[in-house]
Amino acid sequence: MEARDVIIAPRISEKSMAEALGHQYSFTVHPEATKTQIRHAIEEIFKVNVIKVNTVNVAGKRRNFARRGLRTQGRTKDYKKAIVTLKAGQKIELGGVNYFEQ
Amino acid sequence: MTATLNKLSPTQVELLIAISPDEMREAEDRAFRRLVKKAKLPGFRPGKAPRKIFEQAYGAETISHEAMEDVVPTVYAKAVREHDLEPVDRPHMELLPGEEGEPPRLKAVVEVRPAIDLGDYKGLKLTRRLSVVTEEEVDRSLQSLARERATLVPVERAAKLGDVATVDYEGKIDGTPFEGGAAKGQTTELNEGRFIPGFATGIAGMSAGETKEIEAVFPENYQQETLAGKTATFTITVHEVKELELPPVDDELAKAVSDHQTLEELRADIRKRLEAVAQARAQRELGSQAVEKLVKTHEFPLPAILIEREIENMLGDTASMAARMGISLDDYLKTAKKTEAQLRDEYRPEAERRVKATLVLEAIGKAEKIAATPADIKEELRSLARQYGQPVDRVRQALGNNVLPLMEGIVRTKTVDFLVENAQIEEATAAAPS
Repeated sequence: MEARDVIIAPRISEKSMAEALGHQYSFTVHPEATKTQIRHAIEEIFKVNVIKVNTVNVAGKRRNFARRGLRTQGRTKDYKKAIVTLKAGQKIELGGVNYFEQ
Repeated sequence: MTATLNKLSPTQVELLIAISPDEMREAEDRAFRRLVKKAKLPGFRPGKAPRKIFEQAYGAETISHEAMEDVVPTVYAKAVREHDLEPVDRPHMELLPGEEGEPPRLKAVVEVRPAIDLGDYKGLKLTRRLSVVTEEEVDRSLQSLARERATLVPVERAAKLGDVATVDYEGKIDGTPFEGGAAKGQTTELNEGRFIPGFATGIAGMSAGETKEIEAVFPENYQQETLAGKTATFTITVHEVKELELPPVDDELAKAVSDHQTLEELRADIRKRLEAVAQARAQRELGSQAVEKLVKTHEFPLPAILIEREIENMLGDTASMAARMGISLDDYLKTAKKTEAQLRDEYRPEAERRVKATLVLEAIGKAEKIAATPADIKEELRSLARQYGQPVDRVRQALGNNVLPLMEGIVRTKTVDFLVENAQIEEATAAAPS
């Protein structure tokens, strides 16, 4: 897998931005990516040193669609989230910058 | 903020306001904090999103637009204070693009109160025209008191104006009856002013039991258009003629209509009251004399907008007067044979006079530091309450935030009083206006 197939998008939320202060950055990654793959991909793309990678498979949430008597159920997508810890002092520009464009 | 002032005319100025980058930044911060509370952004609770994220989603212009809403009135108010202007209208504002990287500039054109060179307003020469209360006037008041207690006495003679007659009448125009033109057993006071011309005079001269045909013409401006200007023939039968018999003006009458025991006391009391009325009238007249004098001796340009507003007010007064007579303003204009534009032109000189009077009085009030004190306001509210027969609290409530006009009115009255107090008053007596 190429680095840019492993890392799908940065996760920008209140929580991720708070964690970024402690140089931990969150990304949505390929569901089958391994921690090692993620480490290499991040180091390649952002030119930083990764100290630790935590991952979690997030199950999509159930969604009910009740429309005029008809009731359907659906669910949001499952995804894998990776939280990478960088070497102290290094950072990835989060917030408003598109990481995957050159 | 820096503002430069251009005088376009004595009553109109143009303000060119440059907003400083700092001011703009602060305003944008405030605007962002306001906007972000309403923003729905995934991953963030309302109000928690950072500015960068917000700008990416909604665009930076959203913030600067909102900031302008906030900054424009504040810098305008500041500029007005800086140049010590007294606007009399809302400004016409325009945003001009700023220099490269600078916030936009603001152009505001507004009508302002003209600078007034106050002439001598102390020691105005006024004449107090105090009308003397004559014996006839007292007599007249007594007569009208007596009239209230008059009795109707049937008489055998022919009716004359001032009598009360019971009549049947049937009116026809060109031989056909019309609505409201007939009645039976109607008690009518024969008074020319009460009916259409010719009706009451027609009845005068008839005795009880008589039947006669009379002609009467509806006036051109009669409120029922279908009848206006028409000649009607009335068949009238008189049943009874009564005379208004006034009681003798004596101590008995005094006791009946007042708390006084004798006619002399009543006369003295009436005289006192009439004199008080004359006093008050003379005092009021002094005030208007003072204002007239000032209007004549001061010359300054008047803001056009104030005159237009005053004309508008006068037109509104005319409309409500017409409404009281049961007609619309359009009908009124038709009967007066005028167009609205003509009426406006007619009102203009008076409107100018009024605006001028107001401006001069306000300038004097300011120069003399005349202000409405809380006690004044309380007193004014109390008198309003009396006028409307409502408790003071109710009046205050109904007034709500509209105390400013109330205060202006108080200052105006106090200013006029001040002028009269500081005037040289010449006493003159005049015959009572009849």
